Amino acid sequence: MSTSRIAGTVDATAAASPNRARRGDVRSRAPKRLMAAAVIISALSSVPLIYVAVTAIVTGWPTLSALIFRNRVGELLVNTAGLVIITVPLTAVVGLAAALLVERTTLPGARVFALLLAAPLAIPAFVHSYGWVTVIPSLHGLGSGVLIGTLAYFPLVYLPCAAALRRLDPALEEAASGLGLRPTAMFLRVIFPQLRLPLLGGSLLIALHLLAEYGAFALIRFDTFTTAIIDQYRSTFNGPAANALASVLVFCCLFVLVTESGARGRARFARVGAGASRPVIRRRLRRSTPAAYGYLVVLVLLSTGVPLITVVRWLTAGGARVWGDGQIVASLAQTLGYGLTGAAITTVLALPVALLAVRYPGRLARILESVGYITSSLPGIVTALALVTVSIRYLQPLYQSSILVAVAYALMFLPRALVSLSAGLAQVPLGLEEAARSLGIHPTVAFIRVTLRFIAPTTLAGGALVFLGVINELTATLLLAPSGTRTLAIQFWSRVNEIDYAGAAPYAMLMIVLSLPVTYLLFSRSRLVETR
Amino acid sequence: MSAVELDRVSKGFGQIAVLNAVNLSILAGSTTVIVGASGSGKTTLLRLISGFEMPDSGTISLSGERVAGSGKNVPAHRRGIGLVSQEGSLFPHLSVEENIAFGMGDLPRRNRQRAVEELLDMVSLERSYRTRRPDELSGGQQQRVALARALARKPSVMLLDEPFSALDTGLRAATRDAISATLRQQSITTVLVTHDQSEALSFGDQLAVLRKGRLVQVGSPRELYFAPREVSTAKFLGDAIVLPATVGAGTASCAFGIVVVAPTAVRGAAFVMFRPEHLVVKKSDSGGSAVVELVEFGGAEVNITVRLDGLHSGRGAVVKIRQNNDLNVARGDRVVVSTRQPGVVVSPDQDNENDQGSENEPELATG
Repeated sequence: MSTSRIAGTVDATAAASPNRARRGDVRSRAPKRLMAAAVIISALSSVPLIYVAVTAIVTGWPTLSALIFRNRVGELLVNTAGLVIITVPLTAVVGLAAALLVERTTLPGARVFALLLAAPLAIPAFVHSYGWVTVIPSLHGLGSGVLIGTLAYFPLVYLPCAAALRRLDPALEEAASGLGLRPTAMFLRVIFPQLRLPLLGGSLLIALHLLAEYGAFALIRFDTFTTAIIDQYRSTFNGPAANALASVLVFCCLFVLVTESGARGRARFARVGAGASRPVIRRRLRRSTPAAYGYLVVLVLLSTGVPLITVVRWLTAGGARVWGDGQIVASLAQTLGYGLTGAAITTVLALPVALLAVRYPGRLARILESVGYITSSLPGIVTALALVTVSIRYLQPLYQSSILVAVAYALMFLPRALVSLSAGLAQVPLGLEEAARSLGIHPTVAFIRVTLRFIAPTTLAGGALVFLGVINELTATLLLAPSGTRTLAIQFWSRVNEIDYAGAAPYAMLMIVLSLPVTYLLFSRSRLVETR
Repeated sequence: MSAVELDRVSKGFGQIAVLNAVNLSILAGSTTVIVGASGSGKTTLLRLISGFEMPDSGTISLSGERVAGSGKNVPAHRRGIGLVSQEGSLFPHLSVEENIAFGMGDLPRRNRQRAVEELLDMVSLERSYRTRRPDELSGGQQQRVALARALARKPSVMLLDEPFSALDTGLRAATRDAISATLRQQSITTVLVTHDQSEALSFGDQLAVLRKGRLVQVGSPRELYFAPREVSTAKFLGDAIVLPATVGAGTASCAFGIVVVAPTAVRGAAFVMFRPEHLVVKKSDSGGSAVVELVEFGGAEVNITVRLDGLHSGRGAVVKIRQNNDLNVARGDRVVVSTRQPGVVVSPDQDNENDQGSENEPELATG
């Protein structure tokens, strides 16, 4: 009875005032020209994927199986899988521990370490290898591969984990503490689950880098699929064999992508609730302070110190001679040219896809966006092989041309620009552009005057990421570049191959010097975003 | 002459139909308020008029010229409309002057400054604000700048998309009054979209109620408040007591007994609606028709929840009535409830079976 009475109460004071749901910045239908541009760019991105599939079909199962199921491929599989399986968890532990020490303890000098721990990203992996081979010439095999991989790539886990740790809502930890959780349980049950996404994302990137890396492992004579493909292609020009290995490599990449996606599941972590967030809780280390310092100092010395000291040492040993070979300036100019052109083209190509993904989200937009991500996860060697084959067969004039190199860079680094552009576009309220249009401004002009103005910083950041990738790129450039191409990476590589380590040092130093400002820019932007 | 004419306009997004055959005519120089709950299609309707969306069917005309539908689509920037959104959408990288002058085209600096100052006067903002950035203005000031910016192009129609909803209560009323005065002064045809009932009733000459993509009633605010056609409209536009009733010629039998109702063609089972201010509660020493269940002090007024016996009609109900606070009743007192105005017969919502109720369910009498 009481229930029906409550239900029957006439609440004349409760005026209907439903909350207005904010309309998302999403439009109903994409303009045809934008859609066409995005489709064309994604179709271009899918060339390497189509190439692998078509090659497998054309080669035929008997030939393919003969090429794949042999002892050599078994060895490569064991090497590559071993490298990924050991290195990825190791980098996760190393990167996470560093992030925890820097972001969640009162360790003096943490800000300096925050920057130093990101520094290895400015050093190409093959320069890491070069540094270590100089120190320990006998370095080779799986253990060495794990060492180089860990030291070169741990920042890919460290940076996102550090960012996530800065962003975590301390209220959760206070609530857990109030529920009686001890520090260890707090970490395992409250903090660690919130780090799952950056850990998995970083681990995925590291796995893909390990699968794609050539120079670093070739230098220590550790054979992986990628090194074998390039050796196969360059030494014997055995196209089918290289393609068969490439298809196995593609499957490895897809396996890694699917595994990461499965492990990530539908996990999303965001701060909920009203009120401003507060600074994170930092812990005093007390007696553990020396050990923490020791860990961070050793890590910085091994990851940044060894390659840098080696380069400086070779520069000193080489003296003025190494700077006077007459090719350094040309090589630098060529690298800058490729880097800037690659960054510009990739950013322009990413814009329609980003616009479509952000403003007209839907199944098609997701598919078109995903193609770029999947292609970029393929090793550069696969993309390069695909473009070589396509250009030789259908676009002969483009074979060994700078245009083809630029296309390869765009395919390999499109997501770097895409991520930045999407983030920038998502932050620009569509209402601003519509306000401009309602004031009589043509849509294109409104986009330029309003939206482009706002996404300029993120566009530059995306371009900088692409630039960083291009100037350190080796494998695709080796295969695709026109005769006479002498980028810093290629020059470095040819000097190292000639065991002229002193001659390689200026090129290594220039690559590091070019990468440092971009790495610092990315580092400072990530801190800026996280502390806003 | 109609400044805005919508003829059977429908719009959907994917499988979801947002607007369904909407007809609306807005006279030049008038102010129309479109009111509806969240998700009713208000903003979509405004975006169709402004040209940011295309109707799936139907036509839209501005000042007699077709701008959308039947294969025609005049883009937003050529429709000559002004738009002020909930957020104001001021360009954060530009000063107030640059914002206002954004759509003015190339003007000599001095002329531009003079025009901006005149517009600032028009929206009652100090001229010294000209050099400020949007983040140096309060929410109300930002909305006035947004209005000035939209007015700069001398639009034929001004569209206001919940421009006051993000403001604090006090600021909201002041900003609303200032903007309303400016628009009336300029005789600009205005369309305001809101979900705020008091804003809807006070702002416009014409009020249109939108529910689930359908315009359920269009008329003057007074007409819609006192004579709503459907239950939801009655409840949406203000506090309402809606009781199941059996309607006869000029009267209806409900939980209040036999009450007089406004002229209606409806006969038989229906709903009768009263505004709480039209009911009177009196303490009765000789046994009233209702028992006080709860008294809530609310300052100038008091809310009294009473249980109606419904002896005459066989329909009991619990209703909450608002009275002046000089009435001295307590829980358990017997009272008499009478009506000061005839009841209004309202239909169940055409698109919602759940609202219809039945004679056997007196507890569905709600307000």
